[in-house]
Amino acid sequence: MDWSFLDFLMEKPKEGNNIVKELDKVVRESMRYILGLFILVSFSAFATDSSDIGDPRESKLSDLVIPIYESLEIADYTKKICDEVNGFKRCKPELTTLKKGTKVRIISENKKGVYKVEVFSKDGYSEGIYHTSKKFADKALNWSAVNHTLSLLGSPNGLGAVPKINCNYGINLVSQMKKGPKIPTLEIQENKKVYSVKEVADLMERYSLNADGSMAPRTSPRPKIRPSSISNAQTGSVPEEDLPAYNGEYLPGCEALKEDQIKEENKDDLKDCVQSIRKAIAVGNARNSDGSLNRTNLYKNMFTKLNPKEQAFAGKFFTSIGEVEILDNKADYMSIMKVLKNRARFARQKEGDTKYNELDAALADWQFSMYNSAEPGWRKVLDPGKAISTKTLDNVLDAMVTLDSTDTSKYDNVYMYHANYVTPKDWDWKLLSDPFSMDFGSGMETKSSGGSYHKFYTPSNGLKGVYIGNFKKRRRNAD
Amino acid sequence: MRIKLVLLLSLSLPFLTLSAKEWSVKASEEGHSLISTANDSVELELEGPTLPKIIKSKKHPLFDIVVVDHGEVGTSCLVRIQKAYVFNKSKNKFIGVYPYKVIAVDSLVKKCKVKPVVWETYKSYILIHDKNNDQKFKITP
Repeated sequence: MDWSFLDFLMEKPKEGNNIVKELDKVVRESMRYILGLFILVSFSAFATDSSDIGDPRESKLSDLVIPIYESLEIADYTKKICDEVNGFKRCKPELTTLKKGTKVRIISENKKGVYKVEVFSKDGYSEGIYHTSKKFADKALNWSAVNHTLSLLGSPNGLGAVPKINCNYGINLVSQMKKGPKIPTLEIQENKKVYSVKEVADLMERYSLNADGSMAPRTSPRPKIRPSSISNAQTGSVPEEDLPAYNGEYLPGCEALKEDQIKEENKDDLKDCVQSIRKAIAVGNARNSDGSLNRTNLYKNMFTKLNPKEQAFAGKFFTSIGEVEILDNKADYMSIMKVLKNRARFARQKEGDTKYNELDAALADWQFSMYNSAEPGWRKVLDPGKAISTKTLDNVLDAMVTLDSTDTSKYDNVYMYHANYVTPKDWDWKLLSDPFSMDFGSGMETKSSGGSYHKFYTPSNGLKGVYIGNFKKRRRNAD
Repeated sequence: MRIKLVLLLSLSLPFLTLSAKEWSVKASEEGHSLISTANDSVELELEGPTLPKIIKSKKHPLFDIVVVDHGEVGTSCLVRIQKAYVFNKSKNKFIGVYPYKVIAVDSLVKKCKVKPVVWETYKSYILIHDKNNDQKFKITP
């Protein structure tokens, strides 16, 4: 039987197969192009990004602080020199020449041969981040010394063991630059052992505090702040409507603040007051479109939505929680409030402005770190949706009542403190007393918590006051 | 010869005027102030327990700009503060104090996050944006 009449059927599939093959080929080619393009784009994005150097040898380079033995020109892209031509802006970075003796740390290099560098002064203080060309750096830095140091670091006796590399080249490890000068240390004794600042910080990581002030080994990692899932936590919802600006009235629960002194029987009302304040300030423009808090407007609201007594209360209450963090210790809360009161009193005397209160002192730029934009503290305490545990509320209000009824005049001159885990490098220690803890009597001592969390100082000769911040501008903006 | 001398003198006059303005920090009973030979003194507020120190003066046709280091501040996150004191050059009048630079200080435990303070310097004005505190300034004579 002749089946040739069916050839077309045989060819059709053949033709069809060819089309499929062609299509397949086109698709594969396209995919190859797309993949190639994707790799190219990814690579160029990666190459132009100033991310840290990936190569292990080069990543060690970023651990070194290298002295300049010839001048090095650097560019500061945060300080621009600009021209405006026909409505178009043209800017170039400000250029500076670093002199011999200054040190640099090469953080990263981009595709165009530009180094991102951190500059250190002769005294070892960081001067910030700049950019320079690889060509300039090649001339200005002693690369043979750098390479020798890197080979030492790569050897078994190098990094990881005891780095003995700061010999003749003047090259330091970054970790060596971080240590800073030796400062007076607060001696904390446990089992008659004297701990250093670093050891105290480590202790805080490894041990937790019992209610009686004793320490027990931690079974879980140290939380940054008390967990919000504590039972009986006081939470609140964010009201939709914007509250009117302060009109002389008190917010619900805050009437107790009319009295000059906070009393024991006012504590329950003041718990309501805390939440009323948080709700009043975190509304309207204090929320971004995504629901997060807008720091600038939130702080502004603290002046526009609260009356002066509520402002002072909020300054003391929220700052002491944010600054004391996990210690949750009455004496520590009292100590922060005391410093705020001292700063407010100092400013009132200096400026003759009776409006200045503890909130002005607390929100002065950069002073109380919890209010810095990048710190989480301010969100945790000011957001009405975040819980503050009943225990913390009780402790802080108790601290406030006790502070108002205790003679603390011996600490009237305490304006400064810092956490034990930070080490100021350039403080003029001659201007300060030795660090101390605060003892309010009856066992209420900041040190009693098992390791002083803060070091307090009084000013000595030559120190004329404390920073009181740009409160006039803030108040002007708030009016 | 005389013409050459006059020319030389007239050329060097602006530089002589510039170098005549020297800035220094003076300590007194009231505190610390920034003084110069031409301007009224300006109070330097203390940020922390560090005496303010002049870092540099910047050149601008309309403004005298003096950058002062105020040292490290903070309770758990240390930053070094530098501020610029800006004067009207022709009137020798103080215009204001503005953020110049904020530098994060390394600690044993953490390094604070800071954002840059961006200055855009034009011939007739200066724009400043402190991204840390969401502040914007325009300095005009």
